[in-house]
Amino acid sequence: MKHSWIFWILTALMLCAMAFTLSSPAMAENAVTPLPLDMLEGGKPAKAGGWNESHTEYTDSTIHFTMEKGTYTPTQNEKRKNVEIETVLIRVQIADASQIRTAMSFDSYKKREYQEADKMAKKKNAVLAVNGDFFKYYNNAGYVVRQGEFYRDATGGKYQYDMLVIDSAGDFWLIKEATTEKINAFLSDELPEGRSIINTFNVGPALVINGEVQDMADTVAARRDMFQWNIPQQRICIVQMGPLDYAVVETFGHYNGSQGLKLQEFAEYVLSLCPDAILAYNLDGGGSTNVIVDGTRAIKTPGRREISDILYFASAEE
Amino acid sequence: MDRALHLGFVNLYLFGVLIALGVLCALIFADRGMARHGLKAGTGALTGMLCVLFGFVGARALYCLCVIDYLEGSGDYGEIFRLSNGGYVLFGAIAGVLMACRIAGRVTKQTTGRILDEIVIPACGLIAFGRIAASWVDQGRGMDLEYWFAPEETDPAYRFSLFRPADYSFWQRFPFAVESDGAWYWAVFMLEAAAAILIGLYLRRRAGMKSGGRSGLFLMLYAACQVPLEAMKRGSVLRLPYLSFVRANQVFCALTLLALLILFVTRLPGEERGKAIVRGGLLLITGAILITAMEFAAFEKKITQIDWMPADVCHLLEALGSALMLMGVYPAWKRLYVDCEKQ
Repeated sequence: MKHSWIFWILTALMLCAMAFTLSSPAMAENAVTPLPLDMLEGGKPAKAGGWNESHTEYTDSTIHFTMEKGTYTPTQNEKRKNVEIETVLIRVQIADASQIRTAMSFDSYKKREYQEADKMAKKKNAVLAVNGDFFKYYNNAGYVVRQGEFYRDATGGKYQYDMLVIDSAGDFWLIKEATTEKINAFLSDELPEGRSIINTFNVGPALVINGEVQDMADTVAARRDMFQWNIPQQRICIVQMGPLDYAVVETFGHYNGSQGLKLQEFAEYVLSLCPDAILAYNLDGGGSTNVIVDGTRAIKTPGRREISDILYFASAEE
Repeated sequence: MDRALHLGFVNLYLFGVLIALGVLCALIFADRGMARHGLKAGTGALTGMLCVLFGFVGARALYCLCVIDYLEGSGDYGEIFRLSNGGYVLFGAIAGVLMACRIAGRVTKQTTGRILDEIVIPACGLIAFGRIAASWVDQGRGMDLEYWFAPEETDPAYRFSLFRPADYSFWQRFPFAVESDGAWYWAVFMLEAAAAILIGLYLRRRAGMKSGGRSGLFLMLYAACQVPLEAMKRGSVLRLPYLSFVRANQVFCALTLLALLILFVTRLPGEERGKAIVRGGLLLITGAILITAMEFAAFEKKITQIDWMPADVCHLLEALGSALMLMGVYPAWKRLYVDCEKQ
């Protein structure tokens, strides 16, 4: 063929362009001095001397963490084998709202791949990390803000979730079946002046509000039969107990429903452990359940699932 | 980690440089092969240019299809054109290359099969090189060895390996594993590279095929190998949109085998089609079911009846599933590209 050298030159030019554009096959992968808001930044490394021997307590000048393992027998007994299940109650008090934070798999919203929770937690020097709402699983749903940065408003889609808002003072707010209109109304009418949204979660529902157990049958989870709400499962929730005072409650469960709690049972159990709960919010349970203490998984979950995000508490002590 | 050389307002990416060099070497080998096997002069140059263009576009297009739910949710369709953010799928590149060879065949008035046959062996080398290059940007890893072996874990429902050596330090070295942030991870990319090289060597030795046979054999073998290898990967794994628990590349492998079966069956003599469809269909479906079940069983242990089964056994069963799928397609290929040559 004539002038094949032209094709070689064009090919070489394209290859040169490739060298300038191909960064990676996958997406590229995201008093107390407040910690930086930037999601890429984590907390200060925990002090080795702050841990007790069994790693169930950590204390420094900016954070106090305790973990207590127990057992629970659901009162609604329906022939489940091994009815008594293992539970965990964690309490965390922090000195600054910047110490309650979130992180994403591979530090990137755009990177679709998932990552193991303990890997994310280690990278951020998390004293305690739990799984978030797996927001990369349904990319076309929910209102996503993480570490103060807005990512998407997809509340106009098929599903509207009960949305948890964590504001810049570390306080929890609930927007039921959040839509753009409800969120705008919250921003203008409810969120105190001077505060901003730092993190949002789109799973829920709220289990306890101001010390009252919510009726799970009257939630979007029940109406849409989501989150295996009426099947015994492994569960986890985040609770605000007071200003900069939080709890995490986790209960063991199995995929086949032979062990675990239904969502209503879980809500009642959370109240029994946290009677003064301001807001207890259900996070993504089942196989996504993770409780990571000092970079190590502290609870048992059958299998090992990679997830898209964590909620974590970190030290701010220099 | 995207290793890049910052040159003012542009970045020169290590991965891009490596792939560009790999593609260039593959094209030069392919061009020489074409000349040696009597294809028209200049076919290599034209095919090379088209392959680079269509392969790049194909790889990016398929990735964008895989993240369409993200694009919808964020409304940020401009992300499609932010090429330096990454996001390319090998099967998209393969589809692009197939189209490029078809166009090159039409332009040069030669059969697509002849052109494809000349590029598959260099392609194997490029894939192997690309897998290793991707590892330098933290791709292609498996589970970390600490969790994999977990010697202290006695309950089989929480273990991943059949073997529980008290000391697994032998495996904590290259080429078995790679280290990152103080942890050692299985180097699945090495298995992928080895598979590509072995396929290339086998294709080189295998003779007596009709034009197009070598490329068909490459696609079958590569798709079949990639299913269990993809299953072993952790972390950086692309998943389908709206079905975020499904590994995208495994689906593409299965679709490739299905497409090949359809292509081969339609070219068989009429009286042989029925048997080929039934056999191929049954084996493809059986293999796919086995693979799907093992996907749920391996790391997530979601099938409670077999949650005692370690992940390495699940991976072996997935390889068996792949073999079944390959057996569903291979006889039709052999009938078309080998047996007819002997006749």
